[in-house]
Amino acid sequence: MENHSDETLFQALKEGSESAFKKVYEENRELFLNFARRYSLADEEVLDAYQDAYVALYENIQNGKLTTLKSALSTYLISIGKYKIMERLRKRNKHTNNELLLNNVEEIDDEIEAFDIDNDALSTEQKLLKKYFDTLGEKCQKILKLFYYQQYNIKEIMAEGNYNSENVVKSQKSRCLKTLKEAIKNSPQL
Amino acid sequence: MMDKEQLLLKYFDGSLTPDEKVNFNQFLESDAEFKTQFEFEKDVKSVVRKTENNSFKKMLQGFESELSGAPSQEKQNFWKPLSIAASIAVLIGVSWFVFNSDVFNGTEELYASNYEKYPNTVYTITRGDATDESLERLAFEAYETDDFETAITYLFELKEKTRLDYVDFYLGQAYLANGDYLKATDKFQEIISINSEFKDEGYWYAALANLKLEQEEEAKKLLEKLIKMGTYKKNEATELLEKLN
Repeated sequence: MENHSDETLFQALKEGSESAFKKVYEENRELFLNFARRYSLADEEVLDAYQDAYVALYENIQNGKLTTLKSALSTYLISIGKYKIMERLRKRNKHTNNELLLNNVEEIDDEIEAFDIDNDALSTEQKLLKKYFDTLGEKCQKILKLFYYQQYNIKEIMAEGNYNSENVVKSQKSRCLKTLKEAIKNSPQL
Repeated sequence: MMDKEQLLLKYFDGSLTPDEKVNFNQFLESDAEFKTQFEFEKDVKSVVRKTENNSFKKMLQGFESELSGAPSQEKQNFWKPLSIAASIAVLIGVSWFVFNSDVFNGTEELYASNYEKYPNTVYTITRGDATDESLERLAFEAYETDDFETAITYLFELKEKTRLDYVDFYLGQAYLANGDYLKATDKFQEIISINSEFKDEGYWYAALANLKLEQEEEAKKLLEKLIKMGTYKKNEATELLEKLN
């Protein structure tokens, strides 16, 4: 049987490998679901929490907040998953046993503090903004994704998108933001 | 002092120094226009993150429906009978195993019996031509002599310098031969998606790489597509698909 080390998989996730994305998801699924059994959540909610935790871990690999693995990928997933589970328990006004979440502090919990793991619902204005974002041209969407999701700096975007200079990137990005701003301003819905 | 645009850029790429942070906060308090721009960009950031995260979550939900569709879904239940079957098989004896080894068509064996390194069909290495020190020669010399690490290095360089279609295919080959099945799968998928001249071969090798990764469902899908194309390795693909089903 092939045993890919976490390090190999982590590197592959960094590079955006789709097969690694699938493999890591599948490999840690059972472990996570077993772990989450101790909380009184329905099966669908647990699965939903796992998916949110997974997406959050992936985001923080992509945006460079997680650069070196200090622990197994499964440990990261479970630590982020705890937050996701707590969110759900709170939402349902269930008695939340914070101790349950806070004891068992992992050595990586400090690190996770710095991660982007919130996934709050969008406000009304943000929803409108999303509507216009979805209609932007491919080039604009790409540059904004690189900047705000992957948190690339201008130099990195220049290399990634084959731009000629940093100034070209900056003005392209400003133009995309301006298009969005104009759309909002002229929106009949406001 | 740094200009406002630069400060915002550095805020969002996370590179503000402590001094710049102070500067940043001063603007935020005293400059309404700066504040509006900052709030706007923060909203854009939330929207972009939401969009990306949603699309990744959709992919995960897709994996889930694949899992529930396939009978081999529950890994634990899947492996248990298999391990029992394995112990029984051992009891029955090695002689029978040798006699009827097809029963043991695990993915490992299926891979081994189907995998063959794709020959170098693109670059002729002629012996006397020692003056040829081109990257292509170095890459394919390494490839032909099974020195895949070196082949990968040179193919990578070649890829940077040229836009030759076959480079990606041979990179995939070198990864596969070198045991890096994840990278190999990605390369072959890329070849399939850009309709390269190696597309048919791409399906076959992507299927094999997926076998190694224990992604049997994925492997089956790829084989089905290859069979539909009806040219390269049609018989082998049909036979392998039957064994997987």
